Amino acid sequence: MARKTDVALGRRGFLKGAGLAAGALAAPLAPSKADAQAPARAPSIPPAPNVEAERGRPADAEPLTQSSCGADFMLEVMRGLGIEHAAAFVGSSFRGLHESIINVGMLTEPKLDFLSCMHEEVSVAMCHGYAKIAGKPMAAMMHDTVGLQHGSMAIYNAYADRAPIFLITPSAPDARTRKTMVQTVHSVQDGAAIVRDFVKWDDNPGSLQHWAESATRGWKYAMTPPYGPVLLVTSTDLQEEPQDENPPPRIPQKPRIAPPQAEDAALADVAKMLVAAEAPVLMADRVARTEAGMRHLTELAELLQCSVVDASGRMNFPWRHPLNQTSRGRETAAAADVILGMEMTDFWQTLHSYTPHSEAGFQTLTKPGAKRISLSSVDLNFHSNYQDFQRYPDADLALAGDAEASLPSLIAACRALIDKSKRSAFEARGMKLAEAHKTAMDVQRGLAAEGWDSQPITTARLVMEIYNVIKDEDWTLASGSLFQNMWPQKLWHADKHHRYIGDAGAYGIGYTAPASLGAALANKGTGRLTVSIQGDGDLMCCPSTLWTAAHEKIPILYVMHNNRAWHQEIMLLQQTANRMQRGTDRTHIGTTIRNPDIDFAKLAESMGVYGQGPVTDPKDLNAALKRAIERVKNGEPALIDVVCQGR
Amino acid sequence: MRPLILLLLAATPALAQNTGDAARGKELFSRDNCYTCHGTTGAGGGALGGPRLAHAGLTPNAIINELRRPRAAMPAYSEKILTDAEAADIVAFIQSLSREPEPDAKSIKLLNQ
Repeated sequence: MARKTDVALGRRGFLKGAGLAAGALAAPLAPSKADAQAPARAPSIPPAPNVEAERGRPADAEPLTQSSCGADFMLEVMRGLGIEHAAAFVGSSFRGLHESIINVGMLTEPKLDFLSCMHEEVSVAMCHGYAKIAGKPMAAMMHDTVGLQHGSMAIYNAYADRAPIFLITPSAPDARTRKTMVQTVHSVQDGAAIVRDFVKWDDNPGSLQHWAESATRGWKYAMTPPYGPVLLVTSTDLQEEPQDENPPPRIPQKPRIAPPQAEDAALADVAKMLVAAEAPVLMADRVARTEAGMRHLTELAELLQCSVVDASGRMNFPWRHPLNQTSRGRETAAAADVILGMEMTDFWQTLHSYTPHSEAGFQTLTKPGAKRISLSSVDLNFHSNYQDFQRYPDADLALAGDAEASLPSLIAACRALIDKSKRSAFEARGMKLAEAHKTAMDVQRGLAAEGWDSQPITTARLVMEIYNVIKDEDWTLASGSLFQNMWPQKLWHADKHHRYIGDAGAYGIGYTAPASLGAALANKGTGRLTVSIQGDGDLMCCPSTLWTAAHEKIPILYVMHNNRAWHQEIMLLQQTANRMQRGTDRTHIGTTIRNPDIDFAKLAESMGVYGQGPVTDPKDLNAALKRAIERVKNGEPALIDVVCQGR
Repeated sequence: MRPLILLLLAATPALAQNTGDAARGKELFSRDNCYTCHGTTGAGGGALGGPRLAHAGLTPNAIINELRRPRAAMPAYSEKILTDAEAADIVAFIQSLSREPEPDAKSIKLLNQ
């Protein structure tokens, strides 16, 4: 039975009401000059005694207090699953969980913290970035309906990027127990429907026992490759009502997860093809879920002395490894006779060239007869509506399985096939590849040198100035580097899994700032320095991320790649305008972030984050970065605004 | 088809004589938003931007071809929106970018760490 005495407003309704109430309270504190000079009013007639108040609350009325609630049980379930943080933009529909977390979760061991956010997109994206460093989910709680709608883009990013997240959104299925008209307008028959196409699993438990089982099942699905978000629609009443189930709800055991390995016989076939090949290529996108994945991929590449092309969905392979041929990926694909694509998001595009205008310029990069093998856990996860699976890549052999889990068997199968003569031939191949890697790096250095001292600052200069001040630290680059021309991958030395966490997954802008903050949260207390190269357009999707960084005291360095535009869109709009033969001189409309220019340092300072800039002269970057890093090392967030070239 | 186009373009008077005005070309480089992808100094914008223009060994023909009939993601600048004279000015500006000495990456400490 719900407590009918509560008079709660939904979040938006409450805030609006609070504004009116605040205005009413403020008025007597600031009397107008006219009021101050007015004669004193006659005393009013004393009110009659309030009979209802005098009588008091009936003895048989519903109790006003209780000693247990479902939310406390849910808290224990989450703690048992190793969840340490719950991020949320406050919402009355999950106030049961909110209250339990702040009064029990944050005060008793093992701690489960409440992280204050100002938008559900921030809450979810923080979970996304956190998971890629911590290797486990944290929770995001979203107000029923409107909160989930806010968070939906960030959920899609996490889904497409295969990140495990534990999501909660409330429900109030019984019209009789909805507390206000606000809760009714937020109520929905099927709370998960809006995001069901891009969560891995969801449920709507009807009891605490059911909730515990679904939470554990959801955690298991989230953490079984391919990782992904899971959602529990959680009744508001179930959170707030006393624990009175009989028998008492039981918390299921948290399982140890064994990721799915591809079939051994198929891996043996792959080994035969790789060992027999003259120019085998290993392509990787989200292979390394952990440090072990990176180690296994490196071992396989070194065993075969073959090329690795890294699509950089994760930190898969050392960036300066001599076998890393990513900078000459197309050339490498064209020369290959066997290509093994592992956890590739877009294997098709890696193997083809095409013009964006039409299919007419479509060409296959691989030579005739080249064998293509795919190995991916995503083949085990079927969703059809959203097309994150990309174009269909032809494959001679397709293995369904997690690449990281499958690599040890593949390595063993390859090792068994390599004799002395093979080893000698492989070493010769490896030496040629090492030379090609060195040459490619020199080419990239030459490209990076162009415009070195120019203003606006080139992305190459920005990236190398950052590297100069972090290279001796234990750093994480928590932002994707696609919009900075992948300069870090081309020019930085990185050989640890936590150095880089990939990008948004679904290209949903508004990812970088909060996901980087989530990564920084996971790094907090480890001595690692978290750096994010932050696009200006991305930050303006969710600038309140900065407030959360300051409020929660999460150390992170944001370095703005401020090109004062949504730059990708400029280029695409220019194409369209010229196709229509109308010229590009008006394509700045709607695509640029100018007039006025945003002062990001002031924006940061306004929310309690140390801010500097705008830095326009590249010679000033080093000192600015050093000052900011000192702040970050003291446990603060910091931001440097740098005015840069578009790309 | 392409060889024929190349021959026709090579016969364009302003191009053949390379009489473009680099200063005017610099203004057009800004007006027509070339800098957004190629950078204000022609350094280029990598895989998601435009290619490097400075010190890239681009002939006037190659530049004109890419302006008029680009091979990849470059917007196509037809004569209706960019006259032959304007195209020649842009060619002159792009060529002027390469008159400065090419930066020596080996001399830049930050690129060798």
